[in-house]
Amino acid sequence: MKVLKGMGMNEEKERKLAEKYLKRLDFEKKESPSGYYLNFNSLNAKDFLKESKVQKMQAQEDSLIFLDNALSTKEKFHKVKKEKFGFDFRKDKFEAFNLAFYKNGVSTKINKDLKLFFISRTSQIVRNFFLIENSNVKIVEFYTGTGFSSVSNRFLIKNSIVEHELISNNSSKSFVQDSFKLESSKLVQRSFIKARKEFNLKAFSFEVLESNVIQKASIINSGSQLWVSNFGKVGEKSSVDINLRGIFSNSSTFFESFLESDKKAKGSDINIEIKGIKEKNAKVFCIPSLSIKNKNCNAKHSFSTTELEKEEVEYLKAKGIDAKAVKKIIKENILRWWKL
Amino acid sequence: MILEIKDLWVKAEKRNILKGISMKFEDSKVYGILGPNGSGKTTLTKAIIGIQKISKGKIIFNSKDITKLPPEKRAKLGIYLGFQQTPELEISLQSLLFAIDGEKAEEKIDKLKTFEEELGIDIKRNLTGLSGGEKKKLEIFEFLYMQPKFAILDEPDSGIDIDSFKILVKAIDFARKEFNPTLVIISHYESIFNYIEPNFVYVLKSGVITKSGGKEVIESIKRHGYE
Repeated sequence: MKVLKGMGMNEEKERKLAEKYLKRLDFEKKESPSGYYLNFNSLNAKDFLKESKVQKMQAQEDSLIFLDNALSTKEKFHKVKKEKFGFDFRKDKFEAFNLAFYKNGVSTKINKDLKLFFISRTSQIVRNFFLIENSNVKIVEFYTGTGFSSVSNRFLIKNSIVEHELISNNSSKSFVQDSFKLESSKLVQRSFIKARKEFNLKAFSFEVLESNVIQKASIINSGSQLWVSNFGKVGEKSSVDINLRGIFSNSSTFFESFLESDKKAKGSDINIEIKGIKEKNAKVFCIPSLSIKNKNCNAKHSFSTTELEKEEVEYLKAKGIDAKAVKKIIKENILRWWKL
Repeated sequence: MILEIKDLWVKAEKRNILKGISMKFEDSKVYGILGPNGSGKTTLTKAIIGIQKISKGKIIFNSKDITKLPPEKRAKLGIYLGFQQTPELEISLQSLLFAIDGEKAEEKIDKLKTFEEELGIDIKRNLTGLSGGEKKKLEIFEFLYMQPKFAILDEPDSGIDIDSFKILVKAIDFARKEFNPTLVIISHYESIFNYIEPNFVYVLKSGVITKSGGKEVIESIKRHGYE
């Protein structure tokens, strides 16, 4: 098992080291088409709305906005909705968007319990902006782009519980960026990321105050250059728990996590855990970096890649399951893990 | 004789954990292996099932040398290990049993419904986030399901409450009536043997057998400890 520990608190030094490794991994550094890449300081409602010239939309209870050309019939949409995500059209209050049509993005204010669902199979740049207050909201995003799908979501969440499910199954280049600013809220984010070729970037940034963030992701990288970033500022009375599981083959994957707690972040908890199965010609590099400025903040991180977890393999073999089946079972577990 | 261990040596991190152990186990008998913490009991169980590399010695099962056989093949021959600590697995016991037996698993599980209810377990639940006691109960169910010829139960009484302990004793009685395996019960407490009477007892300390014999060995441990 290969274990790389965090390399201290010198971000500049770490960034330089990251750049060096990126070169070694043959990564080609690309800027986001939205221009917001890795810039979570831009998470400001006023600036964002002004800058991106987004259209405004008010989420309406019991209404359905159906704008997806990929799912051109109501029956088809209903089938996907029910089978893939378990939404019940008759019982659930929800809205469905395909915001890919809005090139400059859409701002949506949600102040009631709601479910949002959007699917994209287009090659447009999407910019969504959600203002969620005093609500219990579930958001499902589903990207199956065959071209360049680019997404940039901003979430401002106050006194709310948000469940965010992201499925990204791209056969080509993709870019996903989510930025969250939470206050007295809870966010559970579950992702399934399948990258097969070319360049894929998934960037998540947080700014958390008196809030909890749980992030779980299952990742399969079977031939692309995948870059996964987590940037976070953790304030007081908050917790951030990032857990990623991956299967890597014939690919290059770079993880970077820069989480920071400020001096006031007393009693906060931070955890980053990345576990992966590395196969055939895969390269994986990870920087789990924590910058902790309060002594009473609990922070830990771990990163490991292995062919398969030795303990699990031994246990299953001892029960009479052969090596091939053991491999299959463990892989299936990783793929299902994000939903559990 | 169903299983024989001949001059078994196990080395880990340049230290000998087992130092030339020899043991014999007969068909359908109950054996107790006692010893203090760190005596090598769990290493021994892992060596028997084949997940612990051995540096010297032989393991003979039903007159066949299985020393170089992989664990899954040993399990298929009828050797079962109830682990002291099971890993966290995002898979349910039910899925595991289906992976082993395919469609046949359903019928076999149905026959053990009473035990499932009595143990208060949910075999559809993933083997993750479970307490020590819950894991032990699932192992009891799995042991009954597998119907092994040679079963090693590593600290089966650890972490379970008195009611579950009674069910464990009942499950062992049931197993002896139904498929009558050779049972090897590992523990560092002698109290379990007040309920499940062993035919023979081995005492393991610092990687060697320090005592062996009948029930009197347990009485001696009760009085004098492992000294």
